[in-house]
Amino acid sequence: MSAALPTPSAKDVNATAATWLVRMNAEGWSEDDQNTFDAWLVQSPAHRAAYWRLKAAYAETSRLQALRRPQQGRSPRKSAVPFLAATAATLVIAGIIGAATISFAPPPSENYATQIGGSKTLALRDGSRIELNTATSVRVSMTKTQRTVWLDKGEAFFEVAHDAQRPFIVMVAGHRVTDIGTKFLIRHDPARLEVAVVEGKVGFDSSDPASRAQPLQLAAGDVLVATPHAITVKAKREEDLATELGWRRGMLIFHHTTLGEAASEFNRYNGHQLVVGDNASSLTINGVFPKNDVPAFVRLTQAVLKLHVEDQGHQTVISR
Amino acid sequence: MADTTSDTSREERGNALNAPINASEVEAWFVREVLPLEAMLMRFLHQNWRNKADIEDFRQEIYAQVLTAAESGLPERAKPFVLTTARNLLIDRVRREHVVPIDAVSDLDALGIAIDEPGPERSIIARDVLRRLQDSLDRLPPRCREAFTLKRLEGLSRAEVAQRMGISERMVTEHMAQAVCALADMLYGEPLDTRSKP
Repeated sequence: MSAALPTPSAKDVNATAATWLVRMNAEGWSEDDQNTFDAWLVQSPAHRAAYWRLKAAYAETSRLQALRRPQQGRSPRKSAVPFLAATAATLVIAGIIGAATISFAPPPSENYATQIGGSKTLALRDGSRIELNTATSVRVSMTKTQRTVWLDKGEAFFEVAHDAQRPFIVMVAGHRVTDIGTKFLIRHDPARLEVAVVEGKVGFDSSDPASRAQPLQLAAGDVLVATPHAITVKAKREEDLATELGWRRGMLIFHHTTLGEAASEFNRYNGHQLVVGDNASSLTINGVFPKNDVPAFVRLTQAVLKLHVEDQGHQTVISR
Repeated sequence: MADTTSDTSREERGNALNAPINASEVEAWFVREVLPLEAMLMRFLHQNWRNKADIEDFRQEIYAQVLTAAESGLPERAKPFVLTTARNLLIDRVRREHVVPIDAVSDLDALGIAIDEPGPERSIIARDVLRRLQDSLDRLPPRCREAFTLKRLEGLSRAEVAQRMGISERMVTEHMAQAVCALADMLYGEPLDTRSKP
């Protein structure tokens, strides 16, 4: 290996790389900036080494975002330790920042929520629309430089008015979903997060401690599923996506769906719960049902699948 | 540069491809294979070089050489490759500076062993990540930590952070940049056993 040419000090290169990294992750990053940065990056392997190293460290810190909302959907396996750790971190940081900011108080935001079986469409000032599905709550914060929505629980369909100057960001379970001009669906269950892109593109920046994933870019038709154990992305056919979006028209659409899954879908929308016995839960069904019409669903399963139905007042038990 | 590369020498490298490796592959390899070795590399440099002021520059030079090589073919095993590069750099420096530090490069035999051992670094790195991150965040200078927490973890915009901290947006960028440099040093450069003392 040949003797190296004298290079600028590592400190200087590092500082420059860090400034690039921070600037490109903030508002006001222009195409010119990108071009200047690209030129700087190809200039020297020392530049690439410094930048890639800092970028990797920066990506790692997204895991700390998960600590912000420790009460949300982490797996039981992991939640014990991070929860304690999170509490400690909150105290430490609150101690340092002091009274000026009360611990992790988010910026001013408006709250919207739906009850079980409810749905609601929010028309935001910027022209974007958010359709909330059953038992969903979101907080919306609009500033001059950023539009942020926290999906605290439930499911929402986003139709975003594009604005390059003001990114539209959805924070969900510590993950960050960034809109790049698009329509997308996010469903946030306790131990599972799903992001389905209907149109356009979406960025996904994971905070899952189990993954070392770089930020991902999802295109139309992509469905990302994050569980406490893994993050997977697969392409779905248009009709399957339409099935998932049936609730927007008040319908539940089942296509080779097991009776157990169908029942839990109904249970998301209705106070009156369906319980399916183990011996019946793996039967598969097709069909379209109004999401609030549990009796119709029960009658049909009874008639078509010849199942035993017992109404216990607050719940209906279906078994073979 | 590959014109003089004969088939035999290509075979000797065993893993070099004809086409240059694209940048994102090199980056992924660097992050996955090389960065987890940094604590070990820093330990080696500290053990074998007295002037601590040189060490950060050595690390940069080693990474630059490693990337230059990787860009024309990813080495099969990162650890021996990184350590050999480090050793050659130290030897080169000793020769060029006409200094003969008594134990400058004394640990070569031990290094030989280390090169072949599949050290524990890789498997440990993923463990306790959260705790290590938190511990690192904890040790940042207070203003850096505050800027970093508000911007990166709270998701506030740069302008909002500036307003909250009562400083200019430019200072926010500076604090953030300093925080990222310090976090990278702690996450990658420090030996694991000092990273997360309970």
